[in-house]
Amino acid sequence: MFIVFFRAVLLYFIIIFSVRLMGKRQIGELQPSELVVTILMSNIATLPVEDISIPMIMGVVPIFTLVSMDVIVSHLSMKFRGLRRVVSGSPQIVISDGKIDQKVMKELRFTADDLMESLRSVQIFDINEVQLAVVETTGKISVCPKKQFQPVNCGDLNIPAKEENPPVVVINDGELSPAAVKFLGFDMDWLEKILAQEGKSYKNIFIMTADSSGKYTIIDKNGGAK
Amino acid sequence: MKRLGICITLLVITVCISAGSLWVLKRSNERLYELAGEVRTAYENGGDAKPALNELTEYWQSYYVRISYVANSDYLNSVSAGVFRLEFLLENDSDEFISELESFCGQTELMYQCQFPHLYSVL
Repeated sequence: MFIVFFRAVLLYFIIIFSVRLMGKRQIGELQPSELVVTILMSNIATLPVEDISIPMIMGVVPIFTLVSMDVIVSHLSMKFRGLRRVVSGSPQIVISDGKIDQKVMKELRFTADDLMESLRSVQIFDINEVQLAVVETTGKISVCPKKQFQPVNCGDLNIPAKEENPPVVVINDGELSPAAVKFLGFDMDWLEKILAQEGKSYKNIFIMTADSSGKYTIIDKNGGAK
Repeated sequence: MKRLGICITLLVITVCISAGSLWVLKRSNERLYELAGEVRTAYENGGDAKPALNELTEYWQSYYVRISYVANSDYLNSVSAGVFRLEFLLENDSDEFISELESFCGQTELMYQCQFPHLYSVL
């Protein structure tokens, strides 16, 4: 029983390391090769846990090999467009100028139901609102609505808008984030001044967000710091 | 690029470990055959094969630990059973002693062949 326990713990860390090694792109949307590697990894990882006669290395070696191959191939795909097309495919336009390309949909084995479902997932319920729709290599659909159905923005109304990054978290559950403060263009003295002004200690703060204009929001911990 | 470097390093290490384990298995097998040969020679000459057999059994135990990292432990256990049977066969002066010794050598050779990447094994 202990063997299974220790193997499960080891494989847990190995899988986490492998997924991290594959990068954030993997955790987000899966390319076909990444989907294959993920499925294979999960199956291979269970083998040495289920059968203790199989040496642990028989699980670890294929996992590392698959992950390394995937990262190397994706790096090569970045350099060689032809390889990228072979490994990941190309995005396909299914709606262009408001007209559905039924030939492309047939090639993709994309039914009308699939198309409507994908449009609904991006909050479009009327196909007449779509100017351009692209099926990405991950299978997800990207939609550009027609101009009259796009939300109004400052540019449309000729309202000048200041370019600003959204607020970032500078204190998270009592822990300071010097990197976030630096990102905003401030230093730790600025943060300490604000905390002194508010009469608070960072240990008692659940979340503090701030933006580059110096505007901040503080949410205290319930019951205060212990 | 750091990620790419780590992956290439991992691949290289994996290949080296695989090749290394095969080489260790081959060297260990050759030593086993030597010791088995000494046991056989001592037995056939009518001498005391027990010291040679003890040396073989001890070497087998260290071999087992080393090879268990790469070989299926069920198979290793079945070969181990054969090794321990040798002692009893020798004590009882059994006719099966030599054939059991040959079988043991054959099984260790099979273990090496199973690890070797022949085309028929890969496909």
